[in-house]
Amino acid sequence: MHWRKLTGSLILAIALISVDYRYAVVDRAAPLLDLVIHPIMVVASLPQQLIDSVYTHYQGIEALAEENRKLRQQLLENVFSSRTLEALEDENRRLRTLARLDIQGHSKQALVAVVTKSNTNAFRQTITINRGTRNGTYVGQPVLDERGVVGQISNTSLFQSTVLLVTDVSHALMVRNARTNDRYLAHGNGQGLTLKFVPRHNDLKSGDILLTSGLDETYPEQHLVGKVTQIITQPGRDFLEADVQAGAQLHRNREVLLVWNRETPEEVADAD
Amino acid sequence: MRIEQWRFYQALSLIAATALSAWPLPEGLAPWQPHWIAMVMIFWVITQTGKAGFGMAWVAGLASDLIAGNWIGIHIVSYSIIVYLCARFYRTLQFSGSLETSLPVGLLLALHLGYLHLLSIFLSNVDPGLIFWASLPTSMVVWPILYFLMKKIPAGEPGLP
Repeated sequence: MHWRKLTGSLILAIALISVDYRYAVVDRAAPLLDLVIHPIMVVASLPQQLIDSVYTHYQGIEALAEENRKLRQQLLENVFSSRTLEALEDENRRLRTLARLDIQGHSKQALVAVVTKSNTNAFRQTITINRGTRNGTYVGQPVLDERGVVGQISNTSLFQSTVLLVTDVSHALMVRNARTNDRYLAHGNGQGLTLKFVPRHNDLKSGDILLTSGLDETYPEQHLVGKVTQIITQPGRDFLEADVQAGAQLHRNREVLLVWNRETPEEVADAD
Repeated sequence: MRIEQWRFYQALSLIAATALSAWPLPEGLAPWQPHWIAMVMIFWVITQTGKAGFGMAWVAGLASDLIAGNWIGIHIVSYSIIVYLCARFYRTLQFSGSLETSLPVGLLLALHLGYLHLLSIFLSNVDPGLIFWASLPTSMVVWPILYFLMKKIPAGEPGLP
């Protein structure tokens, strides 16, 4: 009489889904579950790490020297641009103080995290990183890469954190058009982002660059979010929609940057 | 009470399948990752008929959900149905060669994928598209090899219910 067991199993499973859907039990129990899953994940990523280390080992001195040269060059360039940035930031702060506006400077605290898993799932677009609460991560923390915005931490436990990507359907952020300074709400759509409810006669063009606005109190200002690829106008609608291609290499990153954007206690600064 | 030897192999193979599923693949290859956990589960249901059942569907489903980061229980539903169908039609699956079983196993996995596809459309309003089905052909190719290898496990010989 298997069908009785089947019905029982199905009812229990559906109950479990609804409990999880409603109360996010698993998200709350995640730190505990991580302790079980973490070792499996570590074992699973061992072959990849082995291949990586072997590859690095045999890359040869010439390639490394070349890379070193490039990095030195980049470092010089970066030092130059960071000096310029500092000067600008200083000036900005002075001007803002003069104008009695809130100071929202650049965050100085950042930490590199290694991506341990990329979940290209239809339901959730997330990556898992190897930094957790022991490094001072918090839910809602912005995650960037060298190109732009990756997402924010949706779940964090002792050893690892889950990063909700900007392309996830449950993710939305306030963006600013770099050309016109217009602001839009960008929703994730599973593959890229969508701007919804853009007024019909808004000056939005394909190829426009979108930056973070800094208004959502999650992401720092002026970071690349993506590029408008297509404007969708439907006759009879008051609003138009636009497709946006994410600027960051969401699923191709090996390392991402964690940024402490909020005012955080001193110990967070010393975490690493 | 003595725990039967095959239970040990069952647990071991499920852990191995979980590790394989959690193995990060490059972006282009990720959708082609075979359904290791489901296939290992099917193997145990058809070889240990009447012994391996819904309990395993729950363990395997939980592991799959945790890896995928879904709401817990989504995989348990389809795995329970797969277990039921396997237990119902185990004779067909058990006594035909491993190559022929590729088709029914593919059918079971298609059922699973169709269910996930529908859920994705209705629950998160995202149509994952045809690439979502990429894991089906790879699973069907991998299945005969997996079946052949797992039958080498001493306790993996077809048992009677």
